[in-house]
Amino acid sequence: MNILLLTIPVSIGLAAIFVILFVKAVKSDQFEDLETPALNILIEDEALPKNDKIV
Amino acid sequence: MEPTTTKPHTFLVDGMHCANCLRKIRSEFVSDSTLTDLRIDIGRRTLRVTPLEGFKPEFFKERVHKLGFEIKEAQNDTELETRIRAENKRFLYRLGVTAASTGNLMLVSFALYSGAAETEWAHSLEWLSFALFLPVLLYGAYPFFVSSYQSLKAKRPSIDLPLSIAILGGSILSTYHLVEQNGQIYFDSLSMIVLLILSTRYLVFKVHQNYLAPMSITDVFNQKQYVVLKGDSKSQVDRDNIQIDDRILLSKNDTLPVDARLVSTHAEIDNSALTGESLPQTIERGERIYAGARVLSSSIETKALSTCKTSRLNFLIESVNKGLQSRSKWVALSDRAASYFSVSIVIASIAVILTFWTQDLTEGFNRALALLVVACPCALGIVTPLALSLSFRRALNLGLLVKDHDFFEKLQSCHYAVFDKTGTLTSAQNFDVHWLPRPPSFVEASVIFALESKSDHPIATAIRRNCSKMYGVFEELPEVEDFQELPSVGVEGVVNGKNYSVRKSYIEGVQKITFSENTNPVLTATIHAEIPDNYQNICHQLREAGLQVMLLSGDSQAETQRTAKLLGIKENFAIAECTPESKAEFIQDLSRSSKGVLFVGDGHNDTLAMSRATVAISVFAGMETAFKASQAYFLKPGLTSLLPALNYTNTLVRVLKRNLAASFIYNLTFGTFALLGFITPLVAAILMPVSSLSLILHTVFSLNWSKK
Repeated sequence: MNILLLTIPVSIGLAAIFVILFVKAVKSDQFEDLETPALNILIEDEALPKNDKIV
Repeated sequence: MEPTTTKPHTFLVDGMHCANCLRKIRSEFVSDSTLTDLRIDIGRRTLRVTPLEGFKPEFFKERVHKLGFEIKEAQNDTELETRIRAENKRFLYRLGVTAASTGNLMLVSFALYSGAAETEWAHSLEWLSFALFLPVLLYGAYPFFVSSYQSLKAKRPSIDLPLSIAILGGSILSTYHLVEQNGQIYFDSLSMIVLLILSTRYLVFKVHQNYLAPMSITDVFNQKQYVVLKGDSKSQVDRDNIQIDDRILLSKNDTLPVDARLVSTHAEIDNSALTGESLPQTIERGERIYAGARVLSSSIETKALSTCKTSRLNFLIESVNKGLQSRSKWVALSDRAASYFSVSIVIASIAVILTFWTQDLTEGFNRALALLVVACPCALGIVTPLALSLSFRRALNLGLLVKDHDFFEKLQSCHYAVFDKTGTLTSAQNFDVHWLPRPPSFVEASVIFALESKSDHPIATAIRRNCSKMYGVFEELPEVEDFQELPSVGVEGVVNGKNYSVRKSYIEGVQKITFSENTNPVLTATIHAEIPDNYQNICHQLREAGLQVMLLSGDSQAETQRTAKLLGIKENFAIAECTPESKAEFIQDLSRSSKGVLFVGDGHNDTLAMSRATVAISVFAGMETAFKASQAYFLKPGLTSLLPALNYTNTLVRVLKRNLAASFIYNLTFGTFALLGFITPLVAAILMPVSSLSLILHTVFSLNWSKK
C-alpha cells in the first residue's frame, strides 16, 4: 500500500493543474464566445497570422 | 520601444454568418501592424480590436465595408454587462474548484467504502477527504453563507438558510468525528450537495441571462454618431448630443435616435424594434417617427422632436426596467412563504436531532441532514419570480409592454373590459375618406396631394394617404404658389395659374372637406374615423372569454351607438357624452362590485378612469400621461395583442399553480421519508437539484411554448 504515498500526491497535483488550467481558460475569456471558435478551425492556415496573436 | 496599445474598439458587423466571412476579415488584417488583437464574435455580431497608436477607426471601417459588411462603431459595454460577465466568471471558478475537489473526494470515499476503512490507511484517507473538502466549504459554498447571513440580517430567512445550516452543521460534526476517530464522516455527501446545487444555480443564472437581460437603449442603437445638417454643412454629432429641432440625415439601415418628424416627402421604415411588427411602414411628410425606427428607404431627412433621453423609446425602456426591478405581490407572498418554510425545516431538523440525542445521535443527525437538504421551496423562491419575469418578455413579444409586476395577477381578476372610443378604438391615423360625387382624377389628386403635403394636420395626412392609395406614389408634384394654410379652415394655393383650395367643415357631427377650383366646389368628401375590421371579432372573443365588454365615449349619442352596434356591444353598455370625471365614476361603480375592471384608453381624458380601474392598458398612439397611469402599453397600433395577453395570463396562472402543487407534493413526500430515515443525505442531495431543475424546465418550456 506504500504506493499510495506516490499516487495520492500525483493525483492531487494533476487535479491542481487542471483547476489552474480551467481558471486560466475562464480568465482569458474562452467561455465568452462558444460559437466562433468552432468556425475558426475551418479556416485554412495561411489566413492565420504566424504569431497567433489574433484569436 | 514597444508601441503602446490604445483602448479596445468594438464594432458591430452585419452580415457575418459563416467561416467564410471570418476568413475574409481575418486575411484582410493578418499583416496589419496597427492591430494587435482582432476578436470576432459571431453570436454577438461584434468585432473587437486592440489597436496600436496610429489606428484610424474610419479607415478600418472603410476596409471592412469594402469586404461587403455593414460596420458600425458600437458602444462600450455598459456597467451592467461588465458586472454580469464578472459574475459569470466567478460562478465558473466556483464550479470548477468544487467539481475538482468533489471528484477527488469521491475517489477517496470510494477507496474507504470498498475496504480501505479496515486498513491502517483509513485515518489518513479521512484526513485527506477533509483536506479536499476545505476548498468546497470555504470557496464553493461561500455564496450560500453570504446570502443566508444577509437574509438573516434582513430578518427574512431565505431558502439558503437550511442549506447553510446543513453544510456547516455537517462539517462541524464530521470534523469532530474525524478528530475523535469515531462516528460518521459526511465530507463526500456535503461536497456533492454543494456541487449539485451550485450547478443548478448556474443554470438558473444562465436562463436569467438569456431571457431576462434588462433592455438598454444601446440594444436598439448600434450607432453612435449621426449626420446633422447645420445650414448647408453636414456634421457628425454624437447620439446623446442631438438637440430638439436638429435636422438629422439618415441613410439606409440607420436607426433613428430620437423622436422626429419626417421632412422628406415620404419614407419607408421598419418599426420592429418598437412594435415587433416587421412589415415596413410608409410614412408621409410631417408624420411622426419614433426613436428606434430603422430606415428602409435610401436616405431621408428628419427634424428632431426630442433628445435621445426624452424619446418615447427611452421612456418605455426605463419604465420597463423599473418594473422588472419592482416586486410583484405574488413574488413578495411567495418569498414570505419561503421564509416560513425554511424556518420550519430548521426547527423540524433540530427536533429530530433532539429526539435521537440520547439513543443514536448519528441516526438523528443523518435524518436531520437529509431533511435539510431534501426540503426545497424552489417553487416559491426561484420559480415564481422566474415565471413572472419570463412573462414580461413574452408579453413584449406579443406586443404588450408591461410595466407593472402586478399586471398579470390583476388582469386575471377582470370581469369587465371597458374601452374608450376616440383614440382607442378609432385612431387619428385611420380615416375613411369617401369622395362625392366621384373620386378625384389623377390630375386632381396630384393637386390635392401637393396642397396637403404642405400641411401637418392629421386630416391633411389622411387625405394624402387616400390619394396615394388610389394612384400610388406621386413622382412629380405640381408647383404650388401663394400657399396659405388657414387654421381650422383648410389650405389654398395657385397651381398652373388656377386657384385651388381644400376646406374643412364640420356638419352634424360629420367631418367634410371640399375641393374647389377657382372657388367653384368640384368634389366633396366625408371623413369618418375608421374602426378596424378585426375589432368586432376581438370584442366577440372577449365576451367568449367571459368578459363584459363596454364602451365609454365623449362623442354624441348617435356616433357612440353607431360604434357600439358595429362592435356588437349592447346599447346600455355604451355610454356617450362622458366627461373624464364621469368615466372615472363609472369605472369606480363597476369595481365596487368587487369584480376587476380592465380599462383601455389613450389620452389625458382617460387618465383619471385609468387610475380607478383594476388594470389599465394604454394604446399605441396614446399620450404619455396615459402611459404613466396605466400598467401596460400596446406596442402595436390596434388591439390585436389583447387576446393573446389574456390567454397568456391564464397559462401563467396555470403554470404557477402546477408548480406549487408539485412542490407541495414533493416536499411532503420526501420530507416525510427523510424524517423516517428512508433516504440518506446523499440521495437527498440528488433529489433536491432534480426537483428544482424539473420545475424550472417546466416553467420555461410551458411559458415559452404555450399556444400563440
